Amino acid sequence: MKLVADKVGYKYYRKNKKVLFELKETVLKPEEGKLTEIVGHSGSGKSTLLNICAGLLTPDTGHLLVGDKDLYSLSDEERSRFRNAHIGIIPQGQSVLKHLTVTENILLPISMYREDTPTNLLNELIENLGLKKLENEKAGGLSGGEMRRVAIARALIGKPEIILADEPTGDLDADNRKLVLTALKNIAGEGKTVLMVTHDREAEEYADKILKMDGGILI
Amino acid sequence: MKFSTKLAIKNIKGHSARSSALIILAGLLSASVFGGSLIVKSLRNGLHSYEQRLGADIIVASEEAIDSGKYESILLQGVPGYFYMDDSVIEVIEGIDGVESVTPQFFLASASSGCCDTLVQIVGFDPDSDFAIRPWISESYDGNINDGDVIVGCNINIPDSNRYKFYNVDCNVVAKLEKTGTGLDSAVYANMNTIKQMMESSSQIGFGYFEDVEPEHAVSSVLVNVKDGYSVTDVQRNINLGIQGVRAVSSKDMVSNIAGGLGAISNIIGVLVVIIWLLSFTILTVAFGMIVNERVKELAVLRISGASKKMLSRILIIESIILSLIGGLAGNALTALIFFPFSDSLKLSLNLPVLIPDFSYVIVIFATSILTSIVICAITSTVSGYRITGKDTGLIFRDGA
Ligand SMILES: Nc1ncnc2c1ncn2[C@@H]1O[C@H](COP(=O)(O)OP(=O)(O)O)[C@@H](O)[C@H]1O
Ligand SMILES: [Mg+2]
Repeated sequence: MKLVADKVGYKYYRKNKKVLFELKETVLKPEEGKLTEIVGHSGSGKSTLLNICAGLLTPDTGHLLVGDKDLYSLSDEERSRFRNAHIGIIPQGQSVLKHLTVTENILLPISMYREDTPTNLLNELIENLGLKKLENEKAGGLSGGEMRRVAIARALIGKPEIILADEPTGDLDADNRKLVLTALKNIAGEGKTVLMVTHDREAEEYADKILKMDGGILI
Repeated sequence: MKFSTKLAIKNIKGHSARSSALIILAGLLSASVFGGSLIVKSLRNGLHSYEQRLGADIIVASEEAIDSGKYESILLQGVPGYFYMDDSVIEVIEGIDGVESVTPQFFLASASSGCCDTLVQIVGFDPDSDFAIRPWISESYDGNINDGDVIVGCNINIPDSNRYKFYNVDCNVVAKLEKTGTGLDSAVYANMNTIKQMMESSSQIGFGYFEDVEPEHAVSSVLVNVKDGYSVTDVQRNINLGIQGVRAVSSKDMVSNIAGGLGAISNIIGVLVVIIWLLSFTILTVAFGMIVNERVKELAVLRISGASKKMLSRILIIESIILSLIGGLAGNALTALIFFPFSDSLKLSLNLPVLIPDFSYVIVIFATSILTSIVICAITSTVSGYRITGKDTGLIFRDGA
């Protein structure tokens, strides 16, 4: 499934109505089957662009096309369901629900709208991401790297065609970084559109394509 | 079960401290309404029943009986007592202009010595002229009350033998009366012949109840009904002016004394309930606000996985309904557990008649109080929830957040 950000722009304002930061009108067309990375300094607008691509931040200008849908012309209900079915998101920072078990966290997108648990895929993800021993643990007790791996499994459990990852290697040790990057690379290898945002220079060697973000402008 | 409900339950279980605090608040909210309505309604019922039991326009008794409050104590609290005047007053009262009908009543306190089985208030009435007690008795017993028969108030236990002995007069218990919530529940009723026999017998045994009145001519009070077209106040004044040593009080006055006390208590309860509500409402609003801030991240995670704003609101509402339902049930159950066994001490401490409303009424206020608590919790949580569901999720996940 194709994702096209067509001249999307966004402004953050200060309390006094002055513009604090502007993502200039951006065109972005990550390819299917490729791992596309957006690199840039912290504060350059990478997360802003990624959130727009995820349907989580309504752009001030432009359109976000996913498949044949203009995401921001849909109702919240439709857009949410579309996201659930087609977009896997690995957000910046920690994003597990601490009072749920690892398995419950991973299955969130499934249990929301679907009846049948994809047991094979679940076991495969748990196995590949090294979460086997933790599957019935409460997620609150996991380490940062383990939580990130849970977030990845959760992003993949619904078999989305598009995967968006925001600093997925942030504050991880070398082993975990490698594991996460390999996983993303493999997913791209399966023909999915993988877009990843990072300021981790080492991650660049996994990329099929690298774009640079600087001061709200994508080059 | 739907996802929203399942997750709501997990959220509640997963945050036990937060959940317990909300349950307690919701319980307080519900219990204050339930308990407040229960007390006020029981007092109103008690007043109504007391009004009906007085059963006459004017009550005449000795000055001492009225002024010392003995008469009221018998009616309100069932404190056994006695006081007498000579039965010649009956005829004098009958002769007063505007008096329609009169009937005597006899009060005798049983003794705790061997001549009596139990210490109670005994009330006697004249079946021929009575208009106050018979209508009440006929609600539970429609047979004759023959000599030697007694009818007992609902607080009196009937012995297996079905017999009671008062001042060596053997009595046969023929019926038990409906609850009134007044002191009359702790009394035993007999006809005039029976109680006179007891009075004479007590005097023979040596109890000095009668002082300067002849036992066979003693009456405790005279109930008076006023003819249509006459003012109760006028008749009352004529009795007070015309007969030495007695005091006539209108039942309106007796009731209005109590109604005044009841009004004061209802106001206090009303103010208390309002204070509890304002407090819990404020605390709830603040609490839900804080909780929602703490939960912004959690809700954003759900958004990312595809939850719509509607689904988030639904989860928050279901949580608040479950919490307030548990709180309401527990709070009300606890209130009932305290109120029902202690309603008699409430009666004593307030010195007001207390008559618990019917079961169906209790169920109705039980349910409405829980429902109000649920509605309040659902509204406050929805309002707080709206503050984040209204925001773009992209604004929530920030560096280091
Ligand atoms: N919610 C927000 N409100 C105001 N300013 C924001 C908000 N989110 C981001 N910004 C500002 O926008 C700029 C870009 O942020 P972001 O897209 O998160 O950058 P990056 O992901 O590249 O570090 C930053 O200067 C940041 O301060
Ligand atoms: Mg960022």
